[in-house]
Amino acid sequence: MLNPESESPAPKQVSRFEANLIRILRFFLQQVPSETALPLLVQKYPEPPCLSANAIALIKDSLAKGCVLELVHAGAWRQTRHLRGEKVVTGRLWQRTPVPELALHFSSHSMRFLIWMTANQAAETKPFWQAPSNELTVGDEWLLFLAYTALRQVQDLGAAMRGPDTPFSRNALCWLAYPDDFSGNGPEAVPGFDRWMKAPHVLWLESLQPLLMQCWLTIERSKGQIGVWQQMLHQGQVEDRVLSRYIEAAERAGRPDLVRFVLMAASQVLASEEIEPTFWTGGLQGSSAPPRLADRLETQRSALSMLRNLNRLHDWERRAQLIGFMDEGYQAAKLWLADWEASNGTLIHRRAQRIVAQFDPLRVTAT
Amino acid sequence: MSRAYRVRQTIRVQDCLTRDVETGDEITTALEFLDILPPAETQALLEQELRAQGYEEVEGQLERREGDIRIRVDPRTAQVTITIQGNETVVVEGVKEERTVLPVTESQRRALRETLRQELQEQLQEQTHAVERKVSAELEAKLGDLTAELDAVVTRVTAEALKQKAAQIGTIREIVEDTEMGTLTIKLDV
Repeated sequence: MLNPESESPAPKQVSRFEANLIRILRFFLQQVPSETALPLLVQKYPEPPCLSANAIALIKDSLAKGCVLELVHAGAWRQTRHLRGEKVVTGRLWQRTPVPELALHFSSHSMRFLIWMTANQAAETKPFWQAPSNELTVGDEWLLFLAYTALRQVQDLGAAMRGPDTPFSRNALCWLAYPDDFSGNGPEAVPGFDRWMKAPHVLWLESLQPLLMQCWLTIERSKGQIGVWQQMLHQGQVEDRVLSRYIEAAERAGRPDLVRFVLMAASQVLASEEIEPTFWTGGLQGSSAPPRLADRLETQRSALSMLRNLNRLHDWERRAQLIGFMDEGYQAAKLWLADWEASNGTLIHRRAQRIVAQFDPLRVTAT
Repeated sequence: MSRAYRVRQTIRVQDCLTRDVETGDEITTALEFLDILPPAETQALLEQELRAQGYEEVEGQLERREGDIRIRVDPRTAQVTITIQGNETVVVEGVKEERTVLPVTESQRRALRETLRQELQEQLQEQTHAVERKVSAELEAKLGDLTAELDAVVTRVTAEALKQKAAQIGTIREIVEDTEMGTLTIKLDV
């Protein structure tokens, strides 16, 4: 009888630095707990001149399996409907798209990022690792997003990663999922989303709709705990800019289906008829309120950034109603109307308008 | 027998800070009209109604003043801006004392003066905010009346627009306006 252990290949030998790098990478990919990786990120290790073939093979294997698995977990497994040109396709991501088009490519920047993170104390090393945005592939950007997701809650490291000169502050996915993290960078720092409306990036946005919905739900539900007016103002301004730019980019690309997460999040937040503005602004402390009424109103309005952006989606719905069978964009319009209906769009838009109107004390409308 | 004495002296400094606080607050909104008449005709009706309410043309917009409050309406966009201006002179003064052993040095006096100055700056900032709050509170108190006034303007413009529209459709036979109920009934022959 054969000993099964004797048949399995011997474990690949790597150096201490390489082992640390692989452990950090697997932590980014949610495969090892933070307790084993975080201590490695607060130490400095001398950077080797090159990595061994064994290490490269293990890193490639982790990236290939882990990045795909994370995308599947984030929402690629769901059976959803999305646009492909003029047509609507249904199914899981790999059923909607030919598999060769889904192949992930990583540039050397991913490897340099991992080496830098392993060799340096990222929270204290200035400047942070940099890479030209136009040279990053969708695989690189996805890895950066996963790294940020894993580390954003780590106190010093998260703050360092949010700085204005880091690759994360230029990563559109990071801004879209965690806009409140970057509120310190100001609304003018919000990146454009046009690149993400084209293949292969757009496939990620399709898959991430459930994740984005969860992120925005968390943001909206936690606003009631913000006590500092200035923080609310900055956060609201950044969120408004992110949503505006994203919705505009989706409109230019003719992809209303990519804004589905906003509708889904809004339909959950506005599920109750009795919801009041205090859900968003109830935590604001009177003691830190700006003395001017104009400033107070601006802050309160900025807290309702998602609700105010529903007006644009309502305009889409009205335009979609007018598109006939023979018109261009009929399928996209039908898909948008179906999404609007599924999220109770008309009802939630009415509720949103009622709430927004409460911060316009002079509002006068003819009826 | 000898005894050691420590002689203490009180240092006393006083200071006064003055600031002319000029503050303002404003609130902006847009009047919304039903699409009864073309925008140019609605705009003309709005202008006419506002002039009847005592608004005068200033820099291409219609304006009315009530004390420190200025109400400005842009008839083209139906944008209303209500502004309040206030100014007040804020004076804060204070005295600070400290008991210290002799000899008193100039640096001790300077440090005490600096501490007092910082405390007065904080008081000055607090009083500046108090003036700003007072001015904003005046604006807030006025908002109720202004909302009712603008509401009445919008209602009258809408009623007039309906009458003009009815006259375009046919011959008006009867107009019944119930201001208490806020209804307008127009009977016309088409």
